Amino acid sequence: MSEIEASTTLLNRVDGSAKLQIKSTQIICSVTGPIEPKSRQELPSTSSLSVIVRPDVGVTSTREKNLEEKIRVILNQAIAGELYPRQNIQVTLQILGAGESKNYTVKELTGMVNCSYLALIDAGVALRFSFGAQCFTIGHDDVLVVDPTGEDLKISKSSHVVVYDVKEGKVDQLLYADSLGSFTEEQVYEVLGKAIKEVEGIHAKFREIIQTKVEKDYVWQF
Amino acid sequence: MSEDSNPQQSLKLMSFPPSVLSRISPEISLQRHLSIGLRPNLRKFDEFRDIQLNDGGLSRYSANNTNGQSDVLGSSILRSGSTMVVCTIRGQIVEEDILGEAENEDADAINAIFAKELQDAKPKETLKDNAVIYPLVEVERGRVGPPTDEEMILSQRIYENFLHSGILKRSALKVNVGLKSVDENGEEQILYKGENDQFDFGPKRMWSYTLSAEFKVFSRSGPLYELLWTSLISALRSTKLPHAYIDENAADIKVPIKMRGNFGTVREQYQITCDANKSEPLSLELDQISYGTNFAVIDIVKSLETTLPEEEGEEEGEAMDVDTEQKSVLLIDIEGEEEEFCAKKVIQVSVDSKGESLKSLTLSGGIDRDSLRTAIQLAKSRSRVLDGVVN
Amino acid sequence: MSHTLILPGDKLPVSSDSAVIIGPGIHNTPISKEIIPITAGILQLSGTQKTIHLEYNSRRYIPQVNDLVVGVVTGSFGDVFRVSLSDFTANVSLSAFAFPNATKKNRPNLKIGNLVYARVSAADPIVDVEIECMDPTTGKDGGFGLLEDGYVFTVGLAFARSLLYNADHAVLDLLVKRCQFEIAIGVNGKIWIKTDELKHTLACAKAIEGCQFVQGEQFKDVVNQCFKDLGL
Repeated sequence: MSEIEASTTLLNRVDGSAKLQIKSTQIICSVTGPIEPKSRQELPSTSSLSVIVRPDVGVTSTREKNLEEKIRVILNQAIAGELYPRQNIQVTLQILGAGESKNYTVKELTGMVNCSYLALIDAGVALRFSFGAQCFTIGHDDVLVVDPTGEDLKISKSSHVVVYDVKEGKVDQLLYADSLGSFTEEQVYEVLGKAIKEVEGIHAKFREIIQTKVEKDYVWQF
Repeated sequence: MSEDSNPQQSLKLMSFPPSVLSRISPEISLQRHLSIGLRPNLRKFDEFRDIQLNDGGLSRYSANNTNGQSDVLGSSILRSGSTMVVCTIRGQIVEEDILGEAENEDADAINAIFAKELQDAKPKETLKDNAVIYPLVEVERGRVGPPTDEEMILSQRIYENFLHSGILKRSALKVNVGLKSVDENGEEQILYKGENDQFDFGPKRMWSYTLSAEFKVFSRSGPLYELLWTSLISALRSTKLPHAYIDENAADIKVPIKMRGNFGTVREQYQITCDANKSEPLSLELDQISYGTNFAVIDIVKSLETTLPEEEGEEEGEAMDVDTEQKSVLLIDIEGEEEEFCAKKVIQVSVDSKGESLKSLTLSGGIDRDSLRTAIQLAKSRSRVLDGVVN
Repeated sequence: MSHTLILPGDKLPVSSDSAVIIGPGIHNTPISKEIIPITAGILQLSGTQKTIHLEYNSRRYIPQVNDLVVGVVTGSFGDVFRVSLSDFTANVSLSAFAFPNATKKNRPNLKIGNLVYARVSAADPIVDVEIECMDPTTGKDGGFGLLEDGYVFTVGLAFARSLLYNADHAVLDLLVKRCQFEIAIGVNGKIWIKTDELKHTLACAKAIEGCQFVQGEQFKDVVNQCFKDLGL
């Protein structure tokens, strides 16, 4: 089980924010929305989603563009866009610590998906379901490593990110999976199977974090 | 397309030609097609687009080169449906960082020790020996401007997948540097390592090629990644790297100088020149070559005839009736606006040319196990077929 | 108040065959017609009337009919004023005729930057949201209209709701003992306050802002501290 440390409601100029740390990967996420979109972003019947990823070092490049697209695909499935027609939801992710070399994106992607879940909850944006992500590597010895370190990644044969949606505390459907490297069909099924328990564990952790957040929000009531 | 007008319907139904309907309501258009067992592009559900490949004669080494002394080292032209992809490979020579002090006379010996240590230090980094390629994708849309998100994402995906695939090793890009000299008879000749046994010219510096791949896409009609990848593989297979040599006159000359009491040395720059006549094919790790296929899983609604056209804004092509029986179909090789727009569940998979090991896999949307299994099986056989086309 | 925390995807204690009235945080999906929670909050059930909603705090205000709001006039076009209820959100419209005794000749005189206290009269996400500055049943001002002078600040939406709907809220009770003030609380999180003295205004605003982060029994300390800091 990966050790997640997270806190919400840190930034007071945005609608929702969260900061999350898994091992040496550290992400901060802010959500603003639903807000008035630029006219080219406007969709007549649903909300538009803009995702902005900022790297920990240097300026935004195609690497971040690719990550933005992956996150957009995942979040678009979760956000109940029909409630916000002609509106825009802006998710900004700043990587504070990548925890992996520039050749890999799995740890950052996992962290960003998990962090944006907490920030969306903090912003009160309508979600159809909860979701959680976990990353894996398979080494040259064909051993599956859950939540690898940057060093594990360097010597891995393949790397995987799996995002599941969570309903009633149980994994329901696969939202997204991304695998890169060299691997077999059986290994894909193994990773997808293993991820179920992992995501459920992460969700249980999220529930604690959100419980703390709600208690803090309503502190004046007690 | 709304020819099934309901007599009880008091509102007058509007009718549109298929091409218009596909734009204003792609979901209905796609569902109507699927309900009669056809795709909007008139292919069967599991039918691939035909792929035609040739080298286009763009490369200087191409047999049907019409371009004279071009700087293109490898090329391919891919046609699939209405889409055309032109891929050209260009190269540059860069000086490599070498381990150990470059100035040190014993650099070779030190390098050898480092190399041994690196080998001993286990485990080895997977990507250490893999070479990269720098892709530039341009999707022609009849207007100019900064690269679109799609172009940037395609470039990045090609870059990442190429690096992780290990198709090209760093060692394959090393320049075998020759020396140009004038022999006793006053004739110029270029000596290369391996060609001449007495030749022991060993520069301490090393040079490598860096390759860039430029893609131009015409009449885009669907997701492009798989087509670009296939054209890249084809272009790389036709790529040849020119030999390069150093002019003897400009090689490694140290000139001590003394100026206003300061001592120093002026070092002559190496003049490295590509040999116009000699070249060798780029050596690829053939068993690492992979080919990609994309699939869309579309939920179809069986009793579509009884349902009214949905309003815009109803999602994912599902009908309003709750109790209609749903089944999903797997569409191979996404093409056309309707398919691309409605494809919320997408499988993208790359399989090596033997159809065994997977190289990359991206699933988005709620993909079920059965669809995934079928997709991987089809991608495996597709990969073997594509390998045949590329060879 | 029960403390059941609900997250998106959790099962709600509603049966599919009996009718329920759903409130904030609950969504009836357009196709499958399921009743699902769409955010994380504390479950609020009323046994008798079969209503269900989630109590959650957020900072982005989404207009609902009959909400009482504080807005800033940002422009006027013909017979319509544009009013901002929260930053970066599309402005809402306030008709010049949505004022007591307003006629073509007798237009309300609102300038850009003026504050109004208003009621949301139409809130369809597809079209512009409309607000009005009169009580629709009586046609009188009903406490709505231009807010002159005073000071506006922002609090969390959940805290604003609690201040507005509990007339004897502990914070307001404490402030009443310190000074006289006029207050307009919008559920969009904007609170307007006006006292006779600038120092009192600032102290009240600081106190209300501060109280949303502490427990009920500490309200008194916060209020005292805020007044003390300003030498009152």
